[in-house]
Formats: sequence, C-alpha cells, structure tokens
Amino acid sequence: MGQAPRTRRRWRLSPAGRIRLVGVASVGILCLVLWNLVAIQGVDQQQAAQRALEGRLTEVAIPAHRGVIQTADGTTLASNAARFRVVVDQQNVADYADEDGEPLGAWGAAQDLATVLDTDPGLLHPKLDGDRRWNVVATGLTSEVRDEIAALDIPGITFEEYAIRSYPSGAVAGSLVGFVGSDGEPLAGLEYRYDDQLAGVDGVQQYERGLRGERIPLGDTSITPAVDGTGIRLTIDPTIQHYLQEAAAEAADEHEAEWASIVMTDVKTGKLLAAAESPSVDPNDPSAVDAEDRGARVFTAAFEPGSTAKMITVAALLEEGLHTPTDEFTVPDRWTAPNDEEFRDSSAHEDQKLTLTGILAQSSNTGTILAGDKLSSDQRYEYFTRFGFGEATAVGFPGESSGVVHPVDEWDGRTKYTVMFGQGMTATAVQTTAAMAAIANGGVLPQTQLVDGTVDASGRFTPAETTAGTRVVSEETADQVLDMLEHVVVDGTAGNAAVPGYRVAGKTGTAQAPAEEGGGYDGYTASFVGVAPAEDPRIAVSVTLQRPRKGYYGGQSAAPVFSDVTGFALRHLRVPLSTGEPSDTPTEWE
Amino acid sequence: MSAPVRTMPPRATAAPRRSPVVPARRTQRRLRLVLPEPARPRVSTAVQVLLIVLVGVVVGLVANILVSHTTFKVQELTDQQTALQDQRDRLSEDIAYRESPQNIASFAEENGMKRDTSPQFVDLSTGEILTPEQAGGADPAEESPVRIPGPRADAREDVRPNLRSPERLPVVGGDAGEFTAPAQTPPGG
Repeated sequence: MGQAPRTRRRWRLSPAGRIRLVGVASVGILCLVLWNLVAIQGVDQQQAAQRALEGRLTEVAIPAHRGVIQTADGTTLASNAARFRVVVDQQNVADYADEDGEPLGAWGAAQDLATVLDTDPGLLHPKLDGDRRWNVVATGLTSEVRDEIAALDIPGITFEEYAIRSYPSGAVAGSLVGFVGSDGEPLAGLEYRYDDQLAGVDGVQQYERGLRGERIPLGDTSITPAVDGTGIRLTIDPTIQHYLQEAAAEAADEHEAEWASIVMTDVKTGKLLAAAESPSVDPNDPSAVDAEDRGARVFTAAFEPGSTAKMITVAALLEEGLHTPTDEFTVPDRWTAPNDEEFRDSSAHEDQKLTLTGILAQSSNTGTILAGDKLSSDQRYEYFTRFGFGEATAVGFPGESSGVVHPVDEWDGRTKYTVMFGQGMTATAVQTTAAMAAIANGGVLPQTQLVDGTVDASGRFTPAETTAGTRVVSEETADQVLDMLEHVVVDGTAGNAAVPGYRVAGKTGTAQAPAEEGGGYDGYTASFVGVAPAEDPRIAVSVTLQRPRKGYYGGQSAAPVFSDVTGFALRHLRVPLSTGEPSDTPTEWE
Repeated sequence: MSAPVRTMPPRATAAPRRSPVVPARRTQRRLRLVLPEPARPRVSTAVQVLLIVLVGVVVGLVANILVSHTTFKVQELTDQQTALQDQRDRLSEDIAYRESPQNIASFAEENGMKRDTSPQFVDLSTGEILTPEQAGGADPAEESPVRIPGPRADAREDVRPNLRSPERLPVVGGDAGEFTAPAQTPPGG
C-alpha cells in the first residue's frame, strides 16, 4: 500500500495574522517604552533627579578662621588672611576675545594676565593652553589682584579662596607664637600648644553649576557654616617685647654670644611681660633661621644658673634661722671640704671679713659654702624645689624643660656643695626669673602665666583661670633677702645693673657651660636676675648670655643689659621714681 | 445638516383600550421628532478655560520673575557682602601690619623721633624736676640698635606669585616640608 508523500507543512501567516503579530510587537515595544517612562517619571523619578543633581552639584570648602593670637593690649601677633589661586578651564580660554569680538585665545589671555601678575606671558601660556578642565595658573593672590584679573573677563578663569596664617608683627614674640606650615598644621610654639582651641571646623557650600562651570542662580544651594577657632591673648607687652628683643640681639652681637635671652615678669601676678631672645624666629619665614633657633629657649634651654642660685641658699639659711644677714664670716679664696673636695672663688684674694650680706654681694663661692654648710642636703634640695626648680612651669610650653635638680641620693661628694652656688643643677631663664619674683613678692612664688585668656570671634575677652601663688618662705625672710640683694647692686658685683632713678636688687651669675658633646666645659653662661624698684618691686628681669666670647662675667655683660631694659620698662609702665635709700646693712666687719 | 431624529418610547398615558370583539392588535410605535436641546454657550466656556490657563501662565510667569528677581537681588547683595568682607579683611590686614612694634618704631625714627635715654621727672606734689643720676652700665641706644625682622608688609609684593624666579619667598606660612619644627617634648622626655 503506497503511502502518500508527506507534504512539508510550512507555517505561513495570513496577512491578517501578520498584522496582528506586528501589532502585538508594537504594543509590546510601546509597553516597554511606557514602562520605562513610568519608571523614570514615576517610580525612579527621585533617583534619576538625584543623579542629575549630583552631576551638577559641586562643593566648595568654607575655611574656618583660625583663632587669633594677641598681645596684652590687643596687638595682633597671628591672624588669618584670605588669598586666592587662579584656576583655568583651558577649553574655555580659547573663546577669549577682545571688545570687538576679535579672538585672542590662550595667548591673548596669557598676555593680559601677565600684565596683572607682573610676569612673562610665555610662562603663563603653557598653563592656559590645552584641554584640561582645571589647571592652576597662580597662587597667593590678594583680593586686589583677584579683582584686577576678574575685570579681564577671561572665559574659563575662576578663583579659589584659601586662608593663610599671617604674622603681622613678624619676629616680635615669634619664638613664643610659633608657626604653622603652609598646610595649616601647627609646628611650634603656642600655635602648637593651643591648636585644639585655635583650630576651627571648616564649613562647606554646595551649589549647582552649568556645563561651563558657571553657577546656576536658581539652582540648589546649601551652606554648612564654618566654626571659627577661639583666639588667645597673651600677657606679653608688645612694646617691651620689641625693645627686649632688640636689646638681646645687640647684647648677643656685642659679646659674641651663642645666644641671649631676656625674661621680664610681673612679680605680683607672675605674668610674663616679655620673653625675648636672639637669634629668634620670624614665623613668616621660619626657614630663614637654623632649626635650633625656631623654638623658645627661655622655656627649653636649661643651663647652670651659677651664682644667681645663691639667693636660694641665703633664703634657706634665713628661713631656717641658721644665720642672719649680718652674721660675720672670714672668707678665704680657697676652701677644702671634709671630703677633700676643694672649692675656690672666681679670683684669688686675701681672707675677707664679710657678713652674709657681703658674701652675697661679693658672690663668694667659699663664703656661700661656709654659711650654707649648716643646711642639710635635704634642706638644700627642698628649698630649690620650693622655688620651682626641677619642675616645668604651668605654662606648659611645647618642649619646655623642667631643669634638673637631682635627688639628694644622687648627689656626689662635690654636688652637695656646688648646688649651693648653682652648679650641678640646671634651670631655665623663666624658672630663675620666677624664683626672683618670689623673693620680691614677699615670699610667694607666683604662677608663671603666658596666656591671659581667650578671645572669641567677636573680640570678647575671657580671662583665664589663675591659681594663687605658693608661699615658699616667710615675708620677713623674703624682705631680708631682697635687702641683701640690693647691696649686690649698691656694694657688690652688679654696679652695672643700676637703673637711673630706681632702686634695684639682683644677683649676678657666671657659670661654666658644659660642652654640647660632653667631656667638660667649653664656655660660660653670664647672667643677671633682678627686680625693681627694690622698695616696692614691680618687675623681675633675667638676662642670660650663653658662651659670650667678650666679657663672660654676668656683672660685665648681663648687668648693663638689665639696666637698659629695666629702665625702659619702668618708664614704659609709668612706675614712679624710687624713694628712700638702701638699708645700711653692713657687708663687711672689722 | 439635519437634526437627529430619535425614537421615543410610547407614551405612558396612551393606555390601550381593550375591546371584547376586536382581536388585539399589535401596538405600533410612533416616531416623533425630537428637537435638539438649546446649545450650551460653548464659546464662553472655552474663553473661560483659556482665561484660566492664561491667568495661570501669567501668574506663574510673574511668580517666576519675582523669584528670579529676588534670587538675583540676593546674589547681588551676597556679592556686595563679599566685596565688603574683602575690603574689611584688606583693611584689617593693613592695620595689623601698621600696628606692629617694628613699624611704629620705624615710622617714629623716620619722623626724627629718638628714644629718651635720660628722662627727667616732675614731682607732682612739689613741682620739682628730678633728673636721675646716670647708671654705670646702662648705655641705651637712641635709635633701634638692631632691626628685628618685621612683618611681611615689608615684602608684601613677594606674596604675589612671581613665575620668573622660583627663588622668591614662598607664600606666607611657608611649606611644612621646607623646614623642621623644634622639639615639642622636653629634653629626655
């Protein structure tokens, strides 16, 4: 039985079917488009708008103003200044044209900018020509220069503002103020110490911009304002500070000293009126001086105080009732201790008949040992620490040294004697000045103060909390020591410290300076620390010259500087002339 | 164009009368000419709509113009504020430089002023003029003996970028990488 040939069946759509198919496909595509449309306009509308907005939004930082640093009278030591950098969109600069529409392009822009920036167009052109959308042309512009450039109306040129730290008083108190780097990070001094307080919090501004980078006037905008830092006001008097810096520089120069420092403090309050030194740093250009000259030596450099420490030994003797100012001594130029340690005065002399006041006035080492030998080692240590030696001040200056007063059990056979005339221990200039202030302040050691308070953005001053001073010796003892110290100037080694019209009390110091590399001494530290007026002390001043090559005795080199700066400060502070005469306390006996 | 003709349902009032002898006849519907209802005032409606739209558009435009105007005014005032702030900053910076002790001393010396190194005093109670004796060691200079580096006002031109030479002073504040800071901890600490 034959099978009928299998006919291959082909699917063919009728014309109506095709139309239906096309229709269905069209409807499908249409639905797809519609769905997408709905999704964009309805479901995904916010996200799409957000994405578009993000594309247009740009953020600009609003720099917070760092707190200012002022002197006691409000003179600015550190503040902020706005500077601008010129930024170019190179693709738009090509459209630069003159008033007649004549195209000038990048070269024309370079020529016009060079006139304002005082430079060569050939150097500017490579910065303007190209297809980069953001390129820095120049930085550090003041607002005057910015306005001049803006007036050129060069397409694609915009400005970015940034803040710099400015030090309008230059090197005046520069070593105290410290400095910041170009990134605004504090690197030294009070800038570093009070950074938490001085630094503010940057704000941010968001706005919409068009394709050419221009701001869209009606676009979204938001501002998170910056929070400015809180400023600080120092106790420093700028006029005195400036004068003392000049005096320190002159003294260092004249005596060819490694460095010189002068510290002046108010004896009643402990406020530092000036803390000068040379060499010193100009915070505007710290790299101009060596690294070791960029700090504040008055706080960081500890040196043997030498004979200025004798006032502490004498105060201890009087306070403990072991001696009186008129006790008599026969003082040789050499003296050998029971442990065979030998001590001598700075120069050979016959035996001298000196009172305790005379020993201090003549700055006799052997006499100080003879008198001070009645003090136990513990008493010697106790009185030095009572007067603030061996402990950093409350200022907390970065890198501040506490000085060294070794515990008694670390003293060798020589140190137990040398410590009485300021050797075998170290102190900073600020510590020595504070100790003198304690004697001048009736036996109360005032807390050393450098920061007087804070200043907010509106300039409102809030005083810092202060702590009452610490009594270290009785008022009677302090007065007696002060009287003895006046005889140092009147009858002793410090005649050069006298100030016209004012009574002065003080003590010279000449100590050996240990070599930096160790292995002995390689110079001297000449110093003088004193107060004025002696009858009612207002200021305590210390002058220190490190390793002077000309005139290394404190009475020769440091005392005249004291006279100069103290006289200036007393007149500046309108302190009335001294009245009365020094006491007739004998310095010698028959 | 003719009015549309509608067929109406039979009147409810025309109830069929029944006759006992006559067989029931099929009721015939009667066509009736329905007159079109009076045309509504279409033109005035369109005008109203148009007016509403127009007013809406105008109000929108005016509001937009007002908002734009206010925005531009705000922008203008903001620009003025910025300019005034710039001016204030400029003047503050200038005053700070002029108030520095170095500049005051410098201006004083330029104007022939000298330091008083031998002052005299008047006793207010007696009117006596007191002349203190000169001290032995003090030898203060009448003029600034040593120049303390002054503020950058002395070299403010250097703040401008100078692209000719890289040796000009850096922007105020320097670069942290250019120099090292002094020790921030106590010796041995």
